[in-house]
Amino acid sequence: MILFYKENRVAKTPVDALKRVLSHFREIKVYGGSCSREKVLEKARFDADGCHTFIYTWDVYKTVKIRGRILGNCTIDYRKILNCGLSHYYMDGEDEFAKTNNSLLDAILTYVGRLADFVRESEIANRDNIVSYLVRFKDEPAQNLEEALQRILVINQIQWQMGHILVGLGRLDYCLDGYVEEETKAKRLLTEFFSLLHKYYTIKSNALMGDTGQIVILGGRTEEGECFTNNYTQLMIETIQELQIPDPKVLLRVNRDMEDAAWTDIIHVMSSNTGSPLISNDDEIIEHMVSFGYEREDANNYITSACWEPIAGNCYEQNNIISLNYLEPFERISKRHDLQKIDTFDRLMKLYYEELKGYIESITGYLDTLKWEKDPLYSMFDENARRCRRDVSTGGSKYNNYGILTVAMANAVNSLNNIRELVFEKKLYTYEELDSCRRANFKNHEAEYLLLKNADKKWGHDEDEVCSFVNQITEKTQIFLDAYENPLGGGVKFGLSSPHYIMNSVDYPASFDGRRKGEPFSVHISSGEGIAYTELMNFASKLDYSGKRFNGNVVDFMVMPALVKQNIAQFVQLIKVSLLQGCCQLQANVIDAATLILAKNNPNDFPNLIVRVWGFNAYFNELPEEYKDYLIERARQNEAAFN
Amino acid sequence: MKLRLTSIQRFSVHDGPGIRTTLFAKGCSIRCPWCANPENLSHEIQKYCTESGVWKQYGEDYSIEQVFDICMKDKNFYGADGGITASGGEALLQAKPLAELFKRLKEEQIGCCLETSLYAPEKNLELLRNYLDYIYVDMKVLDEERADDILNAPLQLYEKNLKYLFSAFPREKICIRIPLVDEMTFTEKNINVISEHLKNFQPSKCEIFSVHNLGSAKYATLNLAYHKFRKITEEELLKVKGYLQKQSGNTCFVIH
Ligand code: SF4
Repeated sequence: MILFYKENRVAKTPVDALKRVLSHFREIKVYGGSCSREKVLEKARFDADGCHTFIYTWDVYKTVKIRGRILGNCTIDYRKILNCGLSHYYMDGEDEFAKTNNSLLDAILTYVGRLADFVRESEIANRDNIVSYLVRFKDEPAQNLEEALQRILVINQIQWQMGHILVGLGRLDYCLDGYVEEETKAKRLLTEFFSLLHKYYTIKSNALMGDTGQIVILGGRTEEGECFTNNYTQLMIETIQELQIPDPKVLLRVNRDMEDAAWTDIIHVMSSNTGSPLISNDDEIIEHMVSFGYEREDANNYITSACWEPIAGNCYEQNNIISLNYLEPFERISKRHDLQKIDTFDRLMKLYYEELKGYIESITGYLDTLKWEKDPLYSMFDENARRCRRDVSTGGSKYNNYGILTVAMANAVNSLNNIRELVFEKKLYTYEELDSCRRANFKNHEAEYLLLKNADKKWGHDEDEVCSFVNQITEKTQIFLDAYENPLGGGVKFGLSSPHYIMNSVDYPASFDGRRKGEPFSVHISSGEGIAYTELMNFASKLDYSGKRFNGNVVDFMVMPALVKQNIAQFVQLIKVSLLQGCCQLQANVIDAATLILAKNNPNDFPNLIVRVWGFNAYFNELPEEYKDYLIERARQNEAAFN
Repeated sequence: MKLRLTSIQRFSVHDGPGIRTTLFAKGCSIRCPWCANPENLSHEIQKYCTESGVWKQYGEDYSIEQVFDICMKDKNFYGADGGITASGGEALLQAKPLAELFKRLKEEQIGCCLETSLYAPEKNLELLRNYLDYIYVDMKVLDEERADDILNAPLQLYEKNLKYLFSAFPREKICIRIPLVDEMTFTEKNINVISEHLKNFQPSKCEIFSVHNLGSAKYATLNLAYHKFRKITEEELLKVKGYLQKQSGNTCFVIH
């Protein structure tokens, strides 16, 4: 079913997708019961498509039966795997953890051996070297860049083979530091490396095409806190940019110590319109992580779950579990309270918080019910899990926090402001009247709809009053989450970005900001109504991301390509100052509405048009129509500010 | 003292160096037929109805304090190059409150810039003399047989102010802007007169551009007749640029 669903996203017709899946029907096998992982590794078949210097292969028709939820959005610590052979991961002892670990490791080594045999018999140009790398994988460290990249590919393909989703790539420049390679060769190797990671793009894509979780984290700081970049940082950005493919995507960690030239490079890359990089501000994020409870060394070494949620480098925290919807308290108020009694704004806010609290309790209740699939693979590579002999799925990692996301904060803030003005200041309606218009999806209430829709939207304006209002709501959120300890022994964190701004809005009732039923929620921290970039950045900088609030806060903006290309220095200044002022993360779509409309109407003329979706890059043509329309609408609104 | 503005545009990148906040002053003393900002022509506040039926107005009176506060919001972004640009309409017509504002901005080390047609009383320029870091001056119709008619204003005033400007400010602070408009500014004779002026005054920089036909929707809201002009081609722009550079020895850029 899943295979059909994925193939159907790119097939011309559902029949074509079905045919494709059926043609492999005999190969499809889901392994359950004990030793299911070992069986998959034993039976997986290999293919050499696209392989010249490396082997990278995943038998998408063989998988492990997943009963609970599988850990996703994770990145193995590749650095360690490069520095020692796989046999290093064998464990002494007769306990269950050690036995499971050793059995899986046996299977992995046998799998690597089979892979070496396959390569030996293949036509792959670099087969002799690959075979020797695979043989050396057992006991030796990787000696050069080529061997290191091959090793990463093998560990990466094993994760996909085991049914993991959204497999991250981690701090690749940092992990390859020390491997000296001549630039032209390094570029050639990286080009094939990234192309191969793109190989199973359709099947790797999760919620939408492009949502693969393959994120490369570049730049940043060392564990000791030193500013880090090396020659691979720029080379990888360049390579991915030149490949003009949406995936893998880049997250670039930046800090105040970076030189001006580096900033200029970043803006040039952004203007190339491949959706990358997402810029992540170390100066903010590391401090918030430390005050949340991460050790500084781990915070310095942070990576992110597939998109933007910061996690410590070598652990398996689940960070993208559910989205809290800030419009939900309005629904609950409607259902549970006597609306006639809402006679002051303070009373409304009191109810809003009361219902937010109840709603958050239902979310934490849900978090308590989650059952994670046992994960001997990730446990094998997790220092802490090995030390305490406890699977990462049951809290074996050093950090075991849950991350949740939020949607519709902008819609809620604009709603509350509209209500304040129309109900309590101008007294044009009672709360009950306005709520009934909303619940009727403004049917026969066009005047009220226009009034709400055209009202001055507060979200995104850098007025102290608006920012402190948002901060008050997030402060309450963290207070309501304060006492929560998840079943793995960790806490919970949240942020103002979410992939669910369209998914969760489908059929969701209308809201007081003039949003009709089913229309998308606002995206991350963005401005829809022609607010100047400086204003949006000031606004985002004044939001409080401390405490539990640092779990991904992306300012998402649209820019016309000509504007950024002709004003590189101004955009350097914009981005630099925004981060210095306290913005956490930034991403941009450098595209204009006219191009998007043309591409929507003439998809064949724009086969390679790449856009940024919630936190990943995708081919515009492969997106569902509602995502295309929303991007067009946002581009239009942005351009309105400049005409 | 108030400033009457039609809008305050933050993150403005077309009205001077760096990141700027541009103030669009309401009211202009001339009438360029190609004007893309008809809402800035009259000094009066004008009500209009949007396509979706909402009543709005062009123009709002701001206290100096209010405008100062808005300008200060982006102070961190201005850096060494950016700052505030007074544009319009004709910002010089509101020189008094503008001088007050610029004085305060200069105290905050924020750069101040003026975009002007120079059709304003000479003393107004004097009022701003101490605060301007950069000045963009239009050179439109300088052909004396046609200028007064086309722009509905005396060319003499412009010439007088231009002389004053170059005596009061170093040429490094002055950039000339030439909008090329078919049959208006873009005639052989007019280009020759412009060339003479550039030769005489030697501004540090000169920008040539073709006017865009973007203001039509605004004309409709104001019930004003809208004139559409043929777009000057890239080739024509480059030709004029080459000619002016050769004749006057000036640095000309084509901007879009
Ligand atoms: S000077 Fe500027 S505002 Fe005045 S009419 Fe001419 S173009 Fe319009």
